Amino acid sequence: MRFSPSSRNLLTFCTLLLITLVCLPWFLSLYIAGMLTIALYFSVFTMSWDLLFGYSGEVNFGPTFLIGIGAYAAALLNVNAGLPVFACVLLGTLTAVLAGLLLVAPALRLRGPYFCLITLVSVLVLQEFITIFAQYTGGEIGMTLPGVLSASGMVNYYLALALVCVSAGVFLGITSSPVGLILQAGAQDPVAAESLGFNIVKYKVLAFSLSAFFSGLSGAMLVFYMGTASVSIVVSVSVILQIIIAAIIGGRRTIVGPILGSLFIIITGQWLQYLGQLDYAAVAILALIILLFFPDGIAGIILRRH
Amino acid sequence: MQLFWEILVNGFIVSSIYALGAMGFSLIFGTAGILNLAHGAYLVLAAIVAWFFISYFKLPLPAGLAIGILASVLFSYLLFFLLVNPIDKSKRIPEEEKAIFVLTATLLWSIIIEGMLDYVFGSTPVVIPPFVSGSMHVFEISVTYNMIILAMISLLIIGLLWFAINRTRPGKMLLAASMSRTGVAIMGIELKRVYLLLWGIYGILAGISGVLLAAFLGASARAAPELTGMAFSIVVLGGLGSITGSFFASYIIGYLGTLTAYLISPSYTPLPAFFVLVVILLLRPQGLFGRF
Amino acid sequence: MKGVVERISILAVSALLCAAFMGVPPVYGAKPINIGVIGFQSPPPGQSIFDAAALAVDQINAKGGINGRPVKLFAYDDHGKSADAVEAFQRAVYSDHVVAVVGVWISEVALALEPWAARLHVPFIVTGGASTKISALVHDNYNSYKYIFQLTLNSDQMARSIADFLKEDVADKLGYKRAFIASENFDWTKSLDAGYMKYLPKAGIQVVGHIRFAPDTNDYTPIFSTIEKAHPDIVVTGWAHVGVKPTVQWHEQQVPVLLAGVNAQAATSAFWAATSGATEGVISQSEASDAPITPKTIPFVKVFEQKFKISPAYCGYNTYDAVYMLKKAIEAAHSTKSDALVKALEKMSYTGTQGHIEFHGKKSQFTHSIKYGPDFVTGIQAQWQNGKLVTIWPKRAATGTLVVPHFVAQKRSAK
Repeated sequence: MRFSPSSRNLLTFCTLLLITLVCLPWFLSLYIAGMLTIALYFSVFTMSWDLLFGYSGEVNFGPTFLIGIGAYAAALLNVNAGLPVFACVLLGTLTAVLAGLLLVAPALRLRGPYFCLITLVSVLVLQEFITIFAQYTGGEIGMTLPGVLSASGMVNYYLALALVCVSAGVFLGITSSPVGLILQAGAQDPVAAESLGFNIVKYKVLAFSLSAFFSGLSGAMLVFYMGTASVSIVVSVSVILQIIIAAIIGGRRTIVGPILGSLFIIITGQWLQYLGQLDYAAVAILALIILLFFPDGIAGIILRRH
Repeated sequence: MQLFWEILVNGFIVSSIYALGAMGFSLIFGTAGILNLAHGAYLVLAAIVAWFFISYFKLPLPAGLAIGILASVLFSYLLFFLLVNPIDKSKRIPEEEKAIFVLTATLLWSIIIEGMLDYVFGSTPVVIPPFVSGSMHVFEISVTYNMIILAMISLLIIGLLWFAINRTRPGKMLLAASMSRTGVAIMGIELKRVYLLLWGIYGILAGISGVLLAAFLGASARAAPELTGMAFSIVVLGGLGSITGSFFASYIIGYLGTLTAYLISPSYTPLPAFFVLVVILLLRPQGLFGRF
Repeated sequence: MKGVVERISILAVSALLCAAFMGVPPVYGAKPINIGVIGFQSPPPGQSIFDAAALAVDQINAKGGINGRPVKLFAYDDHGKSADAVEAFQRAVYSDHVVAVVGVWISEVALALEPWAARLHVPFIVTGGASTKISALVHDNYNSYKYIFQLTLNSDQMARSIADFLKEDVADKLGYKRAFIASENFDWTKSLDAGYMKYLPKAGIQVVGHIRFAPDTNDYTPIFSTIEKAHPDIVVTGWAHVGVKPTVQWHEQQVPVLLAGVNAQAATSAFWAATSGATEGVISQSEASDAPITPKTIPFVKVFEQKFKISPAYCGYNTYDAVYMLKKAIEAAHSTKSDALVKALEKMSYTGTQGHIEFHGKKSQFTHSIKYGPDFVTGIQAQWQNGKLVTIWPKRAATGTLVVPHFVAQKRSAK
């Protein structure tokens, strides 16, 4: 494999970030670890979204369709069938991939903004279904789960970190392989790429399934960490907004960018907590400044080429 | 029979107000290709500002409404000058990604407006006082004058908009710009002037529909995303970029909601609209009147 | 390459500093007792939680604190979202070392925090969420969930309170005996509606219809038209997320029924301006009001209004009482250890601003929820009369009597 200077920078940076994240909990309180745990799950959502947007140019307006299906399938199995947490997470992930492939992936064949519309509507429909079948899903109030990943804050933190490493590894592998190049080519000029004999749709579906797999997995693990599955945690439109914003200001098409973006949003959110109810607006203003003046995002600032 | 008239009349009033609410969103998307996800925030902004001036400074209704609409125009230009124009001009953002940048920026903009409104005015929903009081009996049912007037103003404004776009020179300029930017530039029309006009009209439309919606339904900062969602569904159903399509789609969505509320249950009001949306996207992805 | 390493080290160092700054608790002279309050700041009832907690803590400190130690309040806005609330709860416990947490306005958020209170062994007094699931969780998993208390009437008890009022003041005095239940379709109203179905017939009121509507309903015309067809005398409401829209439409369409029940937004002073006066005549249930319910009620309301320029919402009374009960529990237990506090709270009998407060025991279906009744807490009914909220029930606390709204009386006599 050949490394461009920027990808060598990327590698150095990833290693340093990983070392920092592994060592952080030794210095910091359990609260910081708890906050970072949520940020880490979030970065998996964001990376999965970026794989589809940054590399294959498809705007997935409904990442929480996949996340929510993964989370709710796992939660329902845990509450109603009493399956162990591990099995629930596994089955939840598979359900997310299946649902994504059956219901959303067909839209990848269409050109234009239709994939983005279908994904958005899919989330709204999922949300309605959760409300209508409230006797099983708990409706807008959510479900309290009997199972937990672990009662220890440290174990939870390292589980989330492991998930981030695995998914970032897979995504980096895919995107630096020929598949990543074909995806990018398809995003820039689909006609030219297809005339070279590549079936772009097939590659997009592959990227989508990977995205669905990690979104579902992360969603399922998140609800077992939280102890609750509810619309506001894994489905609602505000979660989607947070994912898109994190990906764009973190720096799209870098894989580490989304991790930085998620950390940025959650850490600044906590840091600006003293602003009370204005903290969301303050984070939005900061994000807007990054978006306007550093369109390559936080990762772009750090990995700027010389 | 009474039920029939109730559904017909109420559905018509609700749909007409929705139609006006979606017009601005449809116009800005059709002409400038911008999905303004802060649309709902604009409706709410105009409504809350108008309500504030009416109930705290005891201004007469028309003056309060005018101030609300003015606020919406002001913010509309702010959005254009602070966000949309810089992103459009930026050389560091690749052309094909500009749309998603504008979209993310409008999202953040929406969060900022909502946060500020919430902070300054609180999040209790507010209602603009009725323009006139009293109600009348038509076709065995009673309808308030206020609702009739709201629907009439909505239709009037939509009519004016249609006339302005299709029959006046600046309107034709907008229409031309929506079809081909380069074409307009070759014709010697300054694109910047077209945009200034467009964002002005957008601000006025969003402002008027905001105060009308608030006179009928009430407004709160937290309802902003919901309103954006409604405008979005209407525009998708009608076909991206088609104002006529959005107009008819409003009636479909409005009547579906009313029918469900009357005949099935008010708890499922939004469902059939989603269902139709999914079916339309699967069978006819360009929407009812789409150009794409 | 060098540049990158440099930039990264700067970033890492500043991140570490920043985080360390957040993680280390500041040092005080006398070691204070920390209490956390979590809530949703932007809606007025949510703001009341913060204000009432701050007021109680100020008063306690002015009188020498708890066992000579000052009380320090830590406030967190959850934006009405479970994820934010869980982060806040962890911050409160791990970083701010609170001995207990009070607050939370939304049932969903309260339920999401319960596993955390159980996991981290921190007493958590819910002062806003009314769902009966909150106490059901405690009942079903007592040993791990005993740290959670619900200091607010739950929705079943609210229904009981409303039925008691309708019987005494409406059915017996006015002869209005046909009720139509109209509730927003949310979890908390399921147990409320079930309560209405159970208690209204017992109070001699016939339920002539029942409708549940989507909370994002825009047009209430179909709902009121369905209601009018059943010719009820009273519409019994279950509204908290909705309020302004249906109230205004009731007024504009002049639906000839009495509007009573839970209309949570209507119980705050801001509602008059929000509805431009359409709320005239609306009756709503609340925890307490500016009325002589106990000797503590009116002084609390006076100080609160003077300080915050708004009247306390129902959860304000609850939160104020909760902080004082925590104080008494710490004094009784001579400790801030959670198990000792739980025991003290379970045994406590306390006269607060809303009545006499005791918690149900392990055996009751409402474990750790407050007791309902004339000897405990009954809640109050308040009606909007000429731009003011007037308490009309229970009789011992009433400052006025029920007035049938003008158009309702007119239309009914026309029939």
